[in-house]
Amino acid sequence: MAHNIPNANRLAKLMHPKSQAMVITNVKDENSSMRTYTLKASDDHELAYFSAGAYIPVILEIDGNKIERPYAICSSPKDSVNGIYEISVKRMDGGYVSNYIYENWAVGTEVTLGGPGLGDSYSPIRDKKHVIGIAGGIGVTPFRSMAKAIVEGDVDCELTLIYGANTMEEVVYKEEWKQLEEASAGKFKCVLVIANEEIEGCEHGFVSLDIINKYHDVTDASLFISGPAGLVKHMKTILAPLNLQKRFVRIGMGGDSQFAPMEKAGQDEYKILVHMAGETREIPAKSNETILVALEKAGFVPAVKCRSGVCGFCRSYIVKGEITLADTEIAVRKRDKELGYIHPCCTFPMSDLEIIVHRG
Amino acid sequence: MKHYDAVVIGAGNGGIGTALALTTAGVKTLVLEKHNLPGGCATSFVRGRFEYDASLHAMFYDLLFKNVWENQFHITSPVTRVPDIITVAYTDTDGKNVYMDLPLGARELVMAIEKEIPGSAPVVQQYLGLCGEVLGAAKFAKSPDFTPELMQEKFPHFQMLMKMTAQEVFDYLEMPMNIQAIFNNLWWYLGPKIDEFPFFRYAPVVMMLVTMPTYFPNHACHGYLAEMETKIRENGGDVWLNTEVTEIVTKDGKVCGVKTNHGDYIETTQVIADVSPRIVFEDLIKEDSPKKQALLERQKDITENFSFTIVYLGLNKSAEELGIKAHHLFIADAADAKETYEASRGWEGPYCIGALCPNVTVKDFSPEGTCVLSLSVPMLGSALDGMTQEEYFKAKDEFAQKIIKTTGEHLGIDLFDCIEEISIATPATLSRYAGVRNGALGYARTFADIRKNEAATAQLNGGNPEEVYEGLSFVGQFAFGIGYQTNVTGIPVAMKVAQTIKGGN
Repeated sequence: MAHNIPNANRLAKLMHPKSQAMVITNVKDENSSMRTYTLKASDDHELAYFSAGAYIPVILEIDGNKIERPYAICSSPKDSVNGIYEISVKRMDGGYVSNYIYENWAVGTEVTLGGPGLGDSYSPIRDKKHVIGIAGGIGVTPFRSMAKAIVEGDVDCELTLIYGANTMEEVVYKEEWKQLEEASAGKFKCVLVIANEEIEGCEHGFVSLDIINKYHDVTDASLFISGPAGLVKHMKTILAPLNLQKRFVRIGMGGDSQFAPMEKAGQDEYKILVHMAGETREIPAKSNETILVALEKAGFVPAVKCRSGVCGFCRSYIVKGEITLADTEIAVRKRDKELGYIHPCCTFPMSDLEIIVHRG
Repeated sequence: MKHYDAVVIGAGNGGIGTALALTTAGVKTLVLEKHNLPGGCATSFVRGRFEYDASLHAMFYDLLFKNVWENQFHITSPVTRVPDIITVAYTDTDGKNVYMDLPLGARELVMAIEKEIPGSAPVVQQYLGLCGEVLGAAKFAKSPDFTPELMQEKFPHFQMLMKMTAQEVFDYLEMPMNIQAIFNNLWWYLGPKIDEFPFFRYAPVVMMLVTMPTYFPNHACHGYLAEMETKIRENGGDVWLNTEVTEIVTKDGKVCGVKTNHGDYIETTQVIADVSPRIVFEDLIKEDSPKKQALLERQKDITENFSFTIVYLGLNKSAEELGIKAHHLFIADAADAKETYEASRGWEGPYCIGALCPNVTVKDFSPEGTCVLSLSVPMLGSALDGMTQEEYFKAKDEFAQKIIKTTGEHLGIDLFDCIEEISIATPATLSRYAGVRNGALGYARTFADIRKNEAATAQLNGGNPEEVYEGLSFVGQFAFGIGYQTNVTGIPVAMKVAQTIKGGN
């Protein structure tokens, strides 16, 4: 609509763009395996605003295939008003996308982002005044955004960040945590928990209830947990006896998690007959790979966002065949399950399948 | 190049029902929807342990859906009857908070209100009597026994009532404002100002709410939408989601195809748009012609309806624990609906809140020990005028705080103590999901706008090749009015299209 677009519609378009044309203006090595990229609009467009903690899709074309991955925005909402986003990427062993980014993104590289919206952020209505963040690995990135937003006055809460790493070298944003603490008038504190080294001013070992309680009563805070599957599992275990309300324990998205199927299939390989908007093609699928991965390997570009089973954007229909779900929390509606609708990002084939998917 | 007998643009509540009717009649149909889900506003979404219905409060299932769903569409998605109780809580003219749990049924309601407000029985009885006259007269007008004399005898006030607004009828009965409050804060279900709203539209809904059973789908609207989506395909139709129509191609005043944002060109001679006609003429039909301009101007001349801001709460206590007894809770910070109507232009109160707790009806709507409470506040899309994104984010959160606070005060519940999940939809959200200007749900329901809307739709679907595009018809809330009956009001259009196709046109 070029003519007098109502502001409600204009805002909706701004907040949920299909794509944002960006260019990289800065690359910073946080350590040997994580880099932070600063991006600004390459066409002067107004950046989509977000709440601290949000993820944003990076839309890539690799070897002729369109691929999308969500990354946490580690800059603050105010930074986006000032025209920039920052995202940190950790190079993973065998990581298709992270290695591509590492090898190809440099100052001046043009990048396409989607609209922010996945992930969890602070809710003054739902959450307590004090947040305890438990972070590890790349899961620490949304907390940088949150801490900045607290300092900038856009989030009204206190944050104690318990940040675990194996070695000091792995810890990122070291200087920034200190600067943010100083600027926060006591609202933000970062506690480093180093597993394999004894370092002055840091805790030693793994995150434990004792360590957390030393800084803030774990039963009187909202917990935001963001990190690799191992950390999440560990936290669930140590928190279990406390019987905390679900309301006060938020577990981060995890990003491109490595799921395992709940049941073991009879065969290693199956065939999937795929219908997508008038195109019909049979593709191979492995029983230990999600249907989404099978689709992407075969060159399809289906609708997908979180890749974690929670957003529902990849909702597809099983015409025929048996499937098993991933061993993770999946937000498929009851009725959808009954009727045969699934989220291919967290579903594995247990027989030959016929499915209907939608374009991205 | 792909060809379909009919293309339905928009898999909203109206588009899906129409497409199901088309495919049931053997028409090779393609449904194109820009969102990744069917339903438009008639949808659900999941947050944490909770599934929320985006917008439905309740359906007059027996009256509007049963026959079609059971006999024509064979829908099996279960619906449950809503218990016959409503909660009404408002701030009276003395600033005191009044709370009532009221039984449904005309006689029961009169007696219950008399208990709460002694002396009110006569005027309430009269009011329901007049509402009943409108409903009865409308029915009688279609009966074979109808004569004008009998009409006057059976329904003596009918002629007068047909010309009055809802407010004028309250004034005619000299009903005190604190009793009006029980009925007039229902205005948001239907339309704008109570003193511009035709009584003949208002009365039937009041009467139906008081005397007819309503139902809620066990799996929210998405439950039946997903089933219909499946049935369309089983009937040989196709549904392509995440596909936005960017152009309706016309030649010599006739539809010949549609283009999409994926670069598809679909050849067809019949397009049914579950899209606001204004958007069709402003954005989708590209030619510049007097015909198009005339049709567009006609739509611009009709006032847009209001939109909503809805706060969806997932509570970690059950409805019983919280003392929520009714599926519908009508809450207002003022007895005078004119005040709450004015407030709907912006973000400040006094608020009129349509609260909904589906767990009262569908016991397992959310996990045991929890319940869903959604709070709908009518709001004009123009309340967002001039806001930056940053201001919008802040305004949304502040508004939600206020709405939850006032709801909790009226119901005597500390809601802040049990909120596990919270989501907020605004006119901006609705504008995106339903693809409408200002998040407006159809056109305004004043006398004038209803007349204009009906006339405009009759013209659009009337097929006069001099005035309209041949092969283009409209369904949904902009064609036939806001409400879940859009799921079935498009069926006559589907049948007409099916006839045309079979006739080999």
